Amino acid sequence: MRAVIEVNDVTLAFTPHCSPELDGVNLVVYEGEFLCLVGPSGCGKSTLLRLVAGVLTPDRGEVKVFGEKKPLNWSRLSVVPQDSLLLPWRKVLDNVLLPLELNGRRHDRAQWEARARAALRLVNLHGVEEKYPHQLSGGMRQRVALARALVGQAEILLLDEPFAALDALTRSQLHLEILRIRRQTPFTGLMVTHNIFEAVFLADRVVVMGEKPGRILGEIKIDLPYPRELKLMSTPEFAALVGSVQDLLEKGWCAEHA
Amino acid sequence: MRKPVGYSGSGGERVLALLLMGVVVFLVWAGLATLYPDYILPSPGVVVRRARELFRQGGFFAVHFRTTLVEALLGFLLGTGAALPLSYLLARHPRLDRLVTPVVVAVQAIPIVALAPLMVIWFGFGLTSKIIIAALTAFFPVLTNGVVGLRETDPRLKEMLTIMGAGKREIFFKLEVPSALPVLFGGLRMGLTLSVIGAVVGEFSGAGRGLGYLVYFARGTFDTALIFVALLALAAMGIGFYLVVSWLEAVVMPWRKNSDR
Repeated sequence: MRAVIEVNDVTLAFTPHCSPELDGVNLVVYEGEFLCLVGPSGCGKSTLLRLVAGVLTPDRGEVKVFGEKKPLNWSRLSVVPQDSLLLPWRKVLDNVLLPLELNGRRHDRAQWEARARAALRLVNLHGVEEKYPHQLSGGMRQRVALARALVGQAEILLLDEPFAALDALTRSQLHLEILRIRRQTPFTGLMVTHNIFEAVFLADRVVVMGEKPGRILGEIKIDLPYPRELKLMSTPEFAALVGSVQDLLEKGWCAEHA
Repeated sequence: MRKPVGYSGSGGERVLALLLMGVVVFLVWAGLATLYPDYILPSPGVVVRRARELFRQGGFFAVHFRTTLVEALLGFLLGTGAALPLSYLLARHPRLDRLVTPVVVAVQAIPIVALAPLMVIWFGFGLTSKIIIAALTAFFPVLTNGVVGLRETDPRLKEMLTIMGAGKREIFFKLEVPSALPVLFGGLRMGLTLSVIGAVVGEFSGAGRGLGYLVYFARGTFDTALIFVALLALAAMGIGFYLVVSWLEAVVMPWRKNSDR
């Protein structure tokens, strides 16, 4: 398997004399896999994501995406943030085609629109093209953000707690959408979350992080079969995997207080 | 920035409230006017009669109205034209901001009433001095709101667009300008209203035309009804400006129209 994201011994401190955000972090994400980073708030999961996105540079160590160190353009890597981050003055369709507009050669707006419509269909949104973001529910806005991330056919999706602000049922719906979209258009996913169940349900691999300093505590391989359905969550296999993630987290806390 | 609950009723409700308020003001005015002689508080009837007289004198009143209108509008355009590029520079370069802002604050602290006579001495009795005074009054709110607006950009949106591959130019036009618009429009609204005040203050300091001049002139002859006519005309101008800015706001920022929902 080809490694598409490589984080090698990365250390990053925002403020000099405090414990670093990230301390000696190593992480590899392979092509086509869905990896979830789990950890308490403030353990540097989101920071790690921003390093991969190329908006931060490490103090020490290196971050490589597709074997390259320079930040990548949108067409190969895209982000789904927690609170959708849509531009309020753009209608849904114009929000979705924004990445194409920023990277395209302005010749074919009709083609962008067609691709944006296709992306909206992919995330199961219909008839909202001409609406403004504030007219949509939180779940629909997240779908739009997902469509925007998918419109450029990115190979890597970075998801930064994309479902944290949603109610439980909407969240479950979107979990199923993610699984379905992965079947339709395969991509490599790196998702940050503090929801262990979500992580185990969606991921091929769960990496557990600890805080102060942010570091990797260990990883659990999730060998649950696809396609996954919600009832998978009530199986003993699922519970066992959740348990081992919880074990890792707990060990991190004990080490801290020892 | 949502409006508080109950702020905006339906259109009909609003018109009704406005009419009701107008009737109340009118009645209070008419009632008080019976207690005082006309040279202190003329009744609405006296003011209307005086206004009719004025309109019968051909273009006499129109000339004064137009003068103040032109002074305020040109002053506003001049002030805004100077304030907008400067606000861009100040928002972009914090070091320049630290250098220039104290000067701006100092100049702003000088009451425009005290500056006006100086402008009349420098630029004469005519239109020029009034335009400059109106421009000065409009300049500061537009500048301040421009800087605040341009700095208002959500850093997370900026990061998002950067990851998407946006350059500095694209971030400015596709992100910073649209997110500055609501605050900027607040400044424009204030600037336009203040430019009327500036024009009138300028006319007070020496002029031969304009609504401010009319007030000044009428005071000398105890023609209180004329003062009222001029004041009502100024109020009408202010309301007109307000409506124009509101209309422009709705045209330029259609996404804010239904944000109550």
